[in-house]
Amino acid sequence: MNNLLKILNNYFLDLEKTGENIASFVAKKTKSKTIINQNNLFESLEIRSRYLIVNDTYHRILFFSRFPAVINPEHIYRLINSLSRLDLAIHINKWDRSEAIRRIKLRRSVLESDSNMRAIKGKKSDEYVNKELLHLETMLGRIINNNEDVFRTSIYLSLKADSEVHLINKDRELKEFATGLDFEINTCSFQQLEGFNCILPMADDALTHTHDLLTSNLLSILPFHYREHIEETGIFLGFNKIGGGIFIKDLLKGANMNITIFGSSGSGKSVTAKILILRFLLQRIRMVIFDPEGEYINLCREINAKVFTISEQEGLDIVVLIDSLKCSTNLKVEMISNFLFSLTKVPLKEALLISKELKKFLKSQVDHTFKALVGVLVKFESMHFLKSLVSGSTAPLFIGNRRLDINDRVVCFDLSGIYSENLKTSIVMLIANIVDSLLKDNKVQTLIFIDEAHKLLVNEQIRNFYINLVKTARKRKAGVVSITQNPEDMNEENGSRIIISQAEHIFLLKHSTASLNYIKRYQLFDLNEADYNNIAKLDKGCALLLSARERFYLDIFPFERERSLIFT
Amino acid sequence: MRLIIEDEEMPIKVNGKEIAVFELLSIDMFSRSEMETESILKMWQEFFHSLNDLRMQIIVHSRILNFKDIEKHLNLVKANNPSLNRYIEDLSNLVNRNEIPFKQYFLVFSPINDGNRILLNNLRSKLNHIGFGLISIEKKQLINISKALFNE
Repeated sequence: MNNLLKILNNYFLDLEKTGENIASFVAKKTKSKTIINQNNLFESLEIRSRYLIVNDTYHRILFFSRFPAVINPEHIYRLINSLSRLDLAIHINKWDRSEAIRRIKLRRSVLESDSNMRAIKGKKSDEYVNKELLHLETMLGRIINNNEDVFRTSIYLSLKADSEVHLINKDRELKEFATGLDFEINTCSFQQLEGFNCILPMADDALTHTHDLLTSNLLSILPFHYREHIEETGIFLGFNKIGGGIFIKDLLKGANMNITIFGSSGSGKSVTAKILILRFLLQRIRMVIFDPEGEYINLCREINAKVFTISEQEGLDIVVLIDSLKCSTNLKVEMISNFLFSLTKVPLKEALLISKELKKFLKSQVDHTFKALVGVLVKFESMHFLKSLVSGSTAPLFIGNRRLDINDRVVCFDLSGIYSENLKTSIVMLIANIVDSLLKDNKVQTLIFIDEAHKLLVNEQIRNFYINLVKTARKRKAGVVSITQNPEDMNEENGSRIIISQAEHIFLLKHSTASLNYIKRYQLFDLNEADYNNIAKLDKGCALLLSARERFYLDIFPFERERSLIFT
Repeated sequence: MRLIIEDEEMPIKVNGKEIAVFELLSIDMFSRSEMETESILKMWQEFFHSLNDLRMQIIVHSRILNFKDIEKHLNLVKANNPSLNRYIEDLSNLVNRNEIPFKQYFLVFSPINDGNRILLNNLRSKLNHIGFGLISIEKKQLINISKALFNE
């Protein structure tokens, strides 16, 4: 009878027959206040008047001796989360309704008669009696009128510390904190083992330090506030801001793999995206990154990603590129016309003629280069601008016979060398279009990261392509990670709100008040008043993650070794 | 769906009364919308209303996260990509060097009879419906849990 496991084992076996509680059981078995262990499971259990010593750990069992008349759930949360090593047990036993009413009435009549006696004797009425009478009256009203039940409820706490001094300090700290919240907590003096029995999972309230709580108050003391989130197939994202638990989540599991990251400038959008990139490396997925500002280059080089730079020094003949693809001529025509029509407005009739001409060009034996194509298309009025593209400062951008593949685990398109914003977004669309075509019959899960995604929403042609990319990504075992500042850019008017509704996971980082007002007005997300206040005050790198039906406040955490890659 | 103990021959008994122990998973009241929170509270309210003779004990075991808690996750990462030891090292170090809180929630019910079994079955299906998990704890696990309350 020397180790804890044996005590507990026997406890379950023996109690079935004897009906004892652990305190009397242990006392009887050991006939001593100290239980010595012979193996390494635990060294000793020492029973003192105001604490227990188990395995050199000091335990103190306490009980709630007073509750405030109205319990604030936030206070309960703060109280039980004020210490990291603390066990809590709540015993709930429903009272028979009529019995509860009878007892309350009985108590009320006792108090009333006491009050009357005092009045007859000319004494001042007792403030506490009046308070209790009021409380009983309220209780009675709520039981009868609001159909509430009464529950005999006791709450026990077990504090743990490495030394007696620490235990006493923790105890003082907790009690002071509780008093500040109008709770009263006392030590189970000379009843530590009995108290411990109340903490063990046996539904045995040996000490019966009960209080009568109505249903509404019982709901307020429910301690199910949060728990750490550990999905074995997931990736470590950081810590739950509420409670500090670890947060490991599988973002690829769900209806689709689309993710959006929203946040004002400096809120940590790129940092979040970079952490996601680093973490997704752990999973067997491929990533394609569109980097319009060159923010991801260092990170990508460090992780041996294939960096595909498009600049005046490293140009790209789009016709050579598209011509090299193993896809139908119609699809090639569609890609080129999408690109051309995104650069200028083309009347429908002319657009049809241009597409026809394009098809003819691609099927012909002539040299398939962008310059040659421009030569063919300039006869159309809407295509006159192409001359400046191949002869002006942008000309080097369209020279080069590079091919494109996405066979590497991570491919990054560095577009920071393109100075015209319009041209840059059109090239993003063109390459995304090519990537999308390469993902046909795709077998590897792929995430397409698009930074500064709002720029793809300005032009109707590009916006439609982007919306379609997000909508159809799932069919290609892919997901789009859209990184942008304002959710209001994705609105009903331009039809891009679907990008939000199609996102399985939404990271909301700090937002400006104006942006939040818009979100609130159009109910873009399922947020409450507290969320709006919280989002306005979020620290850099903190986010509210809206994930299917769940919501988490996160402190997104880069490892020490990742910091130099992320904060550049 | 079996509810209390898979092996009927070995119910957990305390003081001659059968008890049922569950671990409550995926709870995060802060991760719910206002409407969801309301419906969760309503669900609990209805459950409490129907408790009658069934006594309930809620246990919150609050301790420090240890390596074992993330071991399965790290093994899976290793199996997926053996070359990425950095993550495993970094996460292990983070867990070992910091006091990261870890909470477990248990629900204990007694006495268990046919009527209360139905009640608990209903509770389980309602909790599952709103994304909470409720898993039965067997006798052996219960002893480990009790041990953890002493030791961790």
